[in-house]
Amino acid sequence: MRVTLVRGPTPEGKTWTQSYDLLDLTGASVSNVLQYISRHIDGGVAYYLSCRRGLCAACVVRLEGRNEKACVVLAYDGIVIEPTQERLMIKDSVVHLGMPRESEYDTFGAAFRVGAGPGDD
Amino acid sequence: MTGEIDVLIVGSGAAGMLAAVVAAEAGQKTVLLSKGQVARSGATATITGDCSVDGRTCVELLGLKADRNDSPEDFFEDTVVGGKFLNDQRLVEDMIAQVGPLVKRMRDAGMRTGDPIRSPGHRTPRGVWISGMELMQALRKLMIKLDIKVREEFFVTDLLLNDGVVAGVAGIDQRTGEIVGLQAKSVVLATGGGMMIYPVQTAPEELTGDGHSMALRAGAELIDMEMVQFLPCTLMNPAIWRGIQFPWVMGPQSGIRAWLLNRFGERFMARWDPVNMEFATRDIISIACMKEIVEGRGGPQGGVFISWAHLPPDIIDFAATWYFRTHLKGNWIWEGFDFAELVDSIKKGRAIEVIPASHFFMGGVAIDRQCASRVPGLFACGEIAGGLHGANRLSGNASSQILVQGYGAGAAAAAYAAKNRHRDIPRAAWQCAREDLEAPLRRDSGVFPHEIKDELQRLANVKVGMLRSGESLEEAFAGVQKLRRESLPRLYCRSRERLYNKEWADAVECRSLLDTLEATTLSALRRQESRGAHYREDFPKQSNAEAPWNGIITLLGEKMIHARRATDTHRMAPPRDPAPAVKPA
Repeated sequence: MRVTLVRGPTPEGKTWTQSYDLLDLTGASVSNVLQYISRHIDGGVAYYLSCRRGLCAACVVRLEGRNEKACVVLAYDGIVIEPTQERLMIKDSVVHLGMPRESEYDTFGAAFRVGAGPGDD
Repeated sequence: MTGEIDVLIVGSGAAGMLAAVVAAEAGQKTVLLSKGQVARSGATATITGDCSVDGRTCVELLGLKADRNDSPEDFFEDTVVGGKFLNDQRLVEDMIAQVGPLVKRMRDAGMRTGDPIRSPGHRTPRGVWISGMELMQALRKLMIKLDIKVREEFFVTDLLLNDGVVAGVAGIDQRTGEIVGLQAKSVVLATGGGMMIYPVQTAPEELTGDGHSMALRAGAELIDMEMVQFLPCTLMNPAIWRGIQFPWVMGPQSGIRAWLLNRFGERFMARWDPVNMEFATRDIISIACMKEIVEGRGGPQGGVFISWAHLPPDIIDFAATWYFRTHLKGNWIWEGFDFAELVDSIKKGRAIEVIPASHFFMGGVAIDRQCASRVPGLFACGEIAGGLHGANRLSGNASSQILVQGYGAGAAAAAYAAKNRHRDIPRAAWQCAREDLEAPLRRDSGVFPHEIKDELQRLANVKVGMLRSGESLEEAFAGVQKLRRESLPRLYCRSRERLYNKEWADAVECRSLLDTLEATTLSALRRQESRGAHYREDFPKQSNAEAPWNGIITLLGEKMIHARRATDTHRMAPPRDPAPAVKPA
């Protein structure tokens, strides 16, 4: 089974494609395939997976131009998995769907982080 | 927003979201951190069903069609009997007394309610129909209105203490790839259960016992960790359907008389509960199924069969209109899947192979009535909090728990924050947490996270699952120690990239899973009886010789310690075996 992922973004905001040839994964969902690639082939591949039954709808990806919940769609040979909206892209197929941007707490300004925590001289 | 935080909420299911709302309403600067995305992660999303409210309150407060003669007292009794007298009765009282007004409040905020259904263990209809996704959408709106700040895909991994008191948290901000420490006056854990220690789950992916692990390491107690609920009759294949409970819904849950069969076509439930058969409680069905599988009477895929072949196809078709109509639209689409083809094969007389899946953790962080753990400044609510359900949770009581404890923890954490100041985060605690987190990224070779996850899930399933014995639990304990000794220190990630590195998160979850599995194993080993969800083949009977006790796990240095604590039974006395007759000398 050949699976192609649209990946990114690069620091310049660009995407690129990467293909993987997988052994038989008959009966696997698109989410199963993304998890398999991330765990067994390429740890850098990001994906979102929570409920696995089409309820939380956060695993949504773009397949053949349509938005689909990755956990309830069977993967197939030649599939191309894209993020639903490049505007909301966090990494690879993961997009921002939760709270509005203005609700975001900025951890860069937080009291302690790498290079600024107690113990970092 | 940046800067000072009073109350930090960890987890964004309904319990965490409600805690955030309540803490913010109390005037505390509240920030919520979620490993996933808010209102799109956690087990709340999987609620398509019941929230338990006593019948009288359903009628009088909520205006629903229910049994007016039902009372909070009867609800209490059913819950404690269902929990096999291991429930903390104070927590049960609070849940029952407080859930009605909170359902009303959530309805005012936009969540719909439907007339209650009657579920097993409840003597009357108490399961107010709700949707978890709607509940979270309502809470999301309240959070936006209150301007509560969140950080999503922030994996909290450690509680940072100052002299035994909560000072803040550390974790991985996956959206920046940074390891971040945040200071707060109080922390509410709402991280859910640890069902991912088992290979098949009804629960979402992120429930890896992170809260159990960090609470234990911070000095909190874990209670009733041996009590894990399994849901029988979930699908095995294809992989896309694994753990989906459609056969259960088409059978015992809807009240349709499906038969459970082994490879010989025997209705094996006759050996366990000849009266109720497939309508026995789900703990007994799970145990019975597993017994058939383990003793070699299962199917080719490693499950047991469920069959509707004895029923006319018309009866199956009819179910779509009277049962599935309330759940969905009168077709065979259930949750996100279209089961029309599967139903066709059922009507042609074919059986489906099914297995039990891990469903719910009754055990968790020990809390008092204010949802406070024994660590000052640390609160817990929802499934991460233990003690409420005892040895078995009744259907619908999880939804009641998240509302009541979410509210309680938010209020208590806000009150604590109002009275206390920020504490410094000690250098050593911060460095230690950070180094542990970074270790898998620094190694050049070793063990992949999925290898540890696969092995510990195998151990849990075979030795700490539905069927347990002293021998299997000892073996599991040794297996956990071996993973801890030989594999955990060699964890390594292929990708060094920090931004949204799923493999790195997987690596960190290995620690949570191992801690959770060890606590479960040790608690199960020490309970030498069978009670509720905990079934010991070497002690198959419930022991009522002594007063009920809860198993408490704490960490002493690096070693987990188990102790017994008498259960709170102030309101309803447990059954006791008659004292043995004393022979005259």
